Amino acid sequence: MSDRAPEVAFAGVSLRYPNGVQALDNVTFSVPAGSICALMGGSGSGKTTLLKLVNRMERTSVGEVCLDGRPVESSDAVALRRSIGYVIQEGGLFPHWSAERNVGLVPRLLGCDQRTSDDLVTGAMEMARIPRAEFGHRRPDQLSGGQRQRVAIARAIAARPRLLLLDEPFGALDPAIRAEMQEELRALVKRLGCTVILVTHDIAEAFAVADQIVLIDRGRLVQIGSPVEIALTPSDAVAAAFTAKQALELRLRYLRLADVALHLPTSSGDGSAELAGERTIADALGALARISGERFTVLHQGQRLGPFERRAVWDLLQRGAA
Amino acid sequence: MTWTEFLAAHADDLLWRSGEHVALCVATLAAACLIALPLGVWLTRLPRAAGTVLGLCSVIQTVPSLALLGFLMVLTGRIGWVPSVLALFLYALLPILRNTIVGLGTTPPPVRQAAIALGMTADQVLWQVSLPLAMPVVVAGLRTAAVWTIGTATLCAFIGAGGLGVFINRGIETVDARMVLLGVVPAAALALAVDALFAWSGRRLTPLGGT
Repeated sequence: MSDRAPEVAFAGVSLRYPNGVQALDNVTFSVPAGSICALMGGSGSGKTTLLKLVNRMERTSVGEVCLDGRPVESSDAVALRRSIGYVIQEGGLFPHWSAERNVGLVPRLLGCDQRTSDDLVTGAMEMARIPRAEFGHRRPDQLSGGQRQRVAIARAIAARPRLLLLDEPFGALDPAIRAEMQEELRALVKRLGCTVILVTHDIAEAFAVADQIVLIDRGRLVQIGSPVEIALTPSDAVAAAFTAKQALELRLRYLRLADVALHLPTSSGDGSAELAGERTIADALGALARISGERFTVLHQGQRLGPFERRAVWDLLQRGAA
Repeated sequence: MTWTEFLAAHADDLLWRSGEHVALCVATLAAACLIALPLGVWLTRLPRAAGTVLGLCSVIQTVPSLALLGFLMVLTGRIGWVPSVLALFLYALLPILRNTIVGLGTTPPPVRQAAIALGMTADQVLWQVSLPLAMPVVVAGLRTAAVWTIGTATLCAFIGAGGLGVFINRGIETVDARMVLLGVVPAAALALAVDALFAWSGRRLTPLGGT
């Protein structure tokens, strides 16, 4: 793989198992270079299968997966896998190895000399916020669930891959730690500039981490879009069902003022309050409530949008939400 | 004759027969390890063949020891070490083979999956992950095989292979309980000692043991 993050393209991908089960049915979409894409679906939807096609843990029956236009099937499977970071639920750490030995796995497989490998391990553990000095010698059973996942992330990024595959990485963690890890993960991969494909069954996780969400149901692609598009303009009833249960919460917590400003009707009055476009809806509504502001304008990238009615935000939030 | 006088009179003989017994067991276990360990590793890649081979070994286990010894004596046309080691070897196969296959099958699926996904080859997964994690189970199989072999080897005296069974035979023929015990007690002590040795090394080889 090159030094830059690859674009990952799924072109007409189908997979039928020998027992006749159609795991994937003509799935086409692409993940732009350097972005975070969440594959979201229930169990058995095919999301993990889709992920495994990228590092050739599974093979397509029809169609192909390409990294920067090059089919993965044309690369050597082992070399390809060494160039791609991978984290699974429960970490999959080797229980008989110390944390640092686990993290050093891929550099060693790639034949790095001891010193290079050492530097990569220290750096990766630093970035995953599991400092080597304190945790390097511990075995996985001497770490908490959250610490184990940090080691697993450090192991995945140790050899500085340009593509990361994450299969329910935080599925086994309790909600408070999960939220913290999601935030850190997003910051980390943005800093590294990797392309990331994340499998999750938790729509809130998809909203918290991803630039782009791919909704999958029974092997078919239902909708692909940004969190805002998924939340506010579901393509059909199946897509709407993904967010239905938590619609209001998702919109409040994860949508930013700038995201929804385009969907709000402009008010005729004057905006007394000025709010930054980066603020979440929950945050903005809280701020307006404190100053009893009924109208506001949004400042986004040097532009002033609005003014808008506070009530219009509530109307938008409740649109389509239960 | 007091016990002390009895032991003093048979000391040289006891030492010699004990040596024979140990040699018989070591030869058997070495042969069984040499065959069963690699076979077990290989069979994990052929699950259907593994079932057949394990079934065959179980059948061997059901044949009474004395009958197997007699049968092999006739089959090889010899007495002494050859049919004895062969019979003990066949008995030792099952526990080693079964525990190797079972042990290698216990690698947690996420660990195995991560190993492959991060670019380990099948051989690297086997040597660096599956085998070390299987060690306690594999050693437990060796332990069972060793203890069985030491016990069963006493029967080999019937077909002229020597060992501690010689005293037992002699005791039975002369209706001398003391002579029987002269074979039984050292054999039992040897089995217990070897059992303890394997238990200790099993703990040492347990990757998750210790702290």
